[in-house]
Amino acid sequence: MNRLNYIIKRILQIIPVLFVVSILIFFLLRFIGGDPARLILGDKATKSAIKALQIKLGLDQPLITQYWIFLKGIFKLDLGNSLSLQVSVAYLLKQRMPLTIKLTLFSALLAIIFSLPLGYLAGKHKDHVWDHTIRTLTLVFISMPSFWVGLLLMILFGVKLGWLPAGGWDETNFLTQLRSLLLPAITESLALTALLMRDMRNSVADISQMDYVYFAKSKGIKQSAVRKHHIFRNALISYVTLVSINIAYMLGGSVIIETVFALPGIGKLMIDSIFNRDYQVVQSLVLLFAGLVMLVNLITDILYSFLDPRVSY
Amino acid sequence: MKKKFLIVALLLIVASISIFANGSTEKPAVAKTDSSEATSAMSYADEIIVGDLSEPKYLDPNAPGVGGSEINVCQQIYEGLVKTDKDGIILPCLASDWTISDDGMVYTFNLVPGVTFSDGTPVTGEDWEWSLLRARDYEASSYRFIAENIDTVEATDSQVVITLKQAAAPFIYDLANFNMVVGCKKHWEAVGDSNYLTDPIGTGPYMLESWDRGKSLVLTANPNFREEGYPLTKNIKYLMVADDNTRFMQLQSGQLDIIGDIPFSIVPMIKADKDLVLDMFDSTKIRYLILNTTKAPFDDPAVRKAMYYAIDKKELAQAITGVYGNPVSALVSPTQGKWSNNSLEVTPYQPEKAKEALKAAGYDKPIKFTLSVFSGSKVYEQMATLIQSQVNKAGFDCDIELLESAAIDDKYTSLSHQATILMWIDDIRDASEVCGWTVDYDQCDAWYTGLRDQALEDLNNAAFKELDEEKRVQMYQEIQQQVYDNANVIPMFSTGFAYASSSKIKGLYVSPFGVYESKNWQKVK
Repeated sequence: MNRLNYIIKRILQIIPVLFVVSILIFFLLRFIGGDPARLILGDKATKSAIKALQIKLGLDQPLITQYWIFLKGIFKLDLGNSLSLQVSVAYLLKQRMPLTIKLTLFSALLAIIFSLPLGYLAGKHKDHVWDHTIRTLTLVFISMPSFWVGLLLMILFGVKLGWLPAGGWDETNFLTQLRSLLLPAITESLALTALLMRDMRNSVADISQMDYVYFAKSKGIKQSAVRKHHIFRNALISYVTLVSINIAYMLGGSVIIETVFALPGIGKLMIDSIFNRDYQVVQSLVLLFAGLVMLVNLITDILYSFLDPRVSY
Repeated sequence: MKKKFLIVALLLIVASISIFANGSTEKPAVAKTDSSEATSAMSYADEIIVGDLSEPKYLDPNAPGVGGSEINVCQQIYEGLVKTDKDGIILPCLASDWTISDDGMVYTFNLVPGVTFSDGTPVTGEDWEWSLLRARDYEASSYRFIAENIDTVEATDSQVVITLKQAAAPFIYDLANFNMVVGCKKHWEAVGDSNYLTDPIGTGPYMLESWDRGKSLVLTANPNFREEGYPLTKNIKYLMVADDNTRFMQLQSGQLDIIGDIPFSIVPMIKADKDLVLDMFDSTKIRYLILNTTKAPFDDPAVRKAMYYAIDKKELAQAITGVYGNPVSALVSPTQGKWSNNSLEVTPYQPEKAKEALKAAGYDKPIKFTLSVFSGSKVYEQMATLIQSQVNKAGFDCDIELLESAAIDDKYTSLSHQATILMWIDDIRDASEVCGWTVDYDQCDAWYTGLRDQALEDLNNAAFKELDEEKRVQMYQEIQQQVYDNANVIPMFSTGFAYASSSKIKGLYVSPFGVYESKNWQKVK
């Protein structure tokens, strides 16, 4: 019951935060300048055509009127139409969000699969060969720029070997989607894997030196039980935090990964919309991400209560 | 704990599989080969895939913001009264022949009989009237200026009569432009204006089969196309690939068949691949240095003219395009033939001469200015870097300012820049477009230079109305001379349109205006 009340309280807190975010993003976008009508019409736009399009898109209205129209739409759960594409923002999200979610989850899964055992191994064998090897590996992963790694993987597996597609998105079935996402997910997961490996390694190394671990061992508790209940479970607390923060971040889409691998995801949509001053798309996406981040934080906090019995609501 | 961990892991795996297995609710259209056509189609593929840097926003040629990607797709769907051949000569299209009145005001076209839209609806006079007047009246259209001179359109099912507001010799070329096409009025009434932007019906060789925004756009053969046997390939598929390296790799791996607008840096790799073909088509594309005459230092004509000696156009062209670019001096592209003033000198790089000219004009110290360029273009950035190093040896002190698209747009449209780099590609076989844009102060501040030259504008208006071609050519040569003397718009170099394709592709050709007809394309299996 306490947990349920806590969840409801946290969900209600999202509303005022989103309201503030809506004001900030609306006025900040106008503050940075740029004329959406001019950008839509291109280099050969005459002044009269620009004026006509501004009127058509409602950009000639006072800012407060434009904000009110935007806010009314949010209350009605209507995200409006993209200024440049004249299709609903909801349609664009429906088109692109699933791919970004799949890529994010796949990348996170790969990162967890590799970082958990390797990080634990490094922490358990601190300052020995395994530890040095794995730490060097994390350094290499963090140092390599993602666009470079992505291109190398595409050249090798896509062009030279022909095992996987050289970018692009084939959503025909599960297997084609998996093939389309494998290289981008590996690329996107590298930095996260390195980060999580280091965190797990440091946590395991530190916790292994704690008094309660020695105490548990001295009581004659089995090594496997000590590892599982005292070391691993405590190490997971910071690990889970990092995973959740990064998942929230990755859900915003990776422009680099999506551009290099030609994936029609949210990241590319966001960056193109910013450059094109497609106010409606940017405002809606920012609100959506703000909500998502708060939701992911809430899920993380709930997970803590399962991991750490000292946490209560 | 172990049990809980296993349950969570299992749930994660099941969730992952269900997400991937879900796929999209909208499956892309897949071209199916009719088995009865298998015999005739045995040697050639049913589909050709084009990799574009960006996807069209709309498929209505009169929509706002129509650019390269929209134009190329629309050209496959729509047709107009006339079209141009490879040399820019006007050919009949949906009109079989035509006459022009002696005063150049009235154009009478006899229509090809029996033409229908892709849904089988016959093209009527009402469709022609509506289409051409829409091209003129659609206020937010990027290319409305092409049709602005139309006064009235009277059309029957067999004839179209267009009366102009004033005589204009380039009008026949304007009619060959991609937006002067016939659309179906009944269809527009049925679907509404906003849906019409993305739901086209035309008379061209292809029609829209499917459009999955951000992913792919598929055109399929128009079953009612008037030319029997065409198009030669059943489907054309456009995939959006925003990165040039990725497009190249997909071309190599066979995922794409054709890519255009390729950067010159990958040309050697294309040439080294025996399975790929590089085509360099003549173009009207030129890059220009735009100097703001309303602000120091370029409010001084002497400073502007000194720039001719301060810039090494040959080095610029070579550094950026290799052997595929040429330094130019005339406002109008040399590809436009007689319309270009080829007597104008491509001044060689003479930094000392530039310094002397500046000193004679009273400038003893290096002249500071900022060159503001679009940060998303590698070519512009390269040009800016080279120009900076060249002019800094020639009595200038140049800073580079890289700005994203909206910011650079704001800068030069508000005339707050000092110098910038812009590009132009002509749409018609005539000098009137680029010359008009350069001298028109009211609509575009004389191409963002802020130079009001009434005599030049009057000369341009007179050239536009002049019907005698020889006289027109002379007038445009004079306009280009004056622009050269004003030195507010300085042409740098021209390049061709670089296309790379699989060696299996036949029939690829791109006009000097950047458009192509895909009805002749074939891909050998």
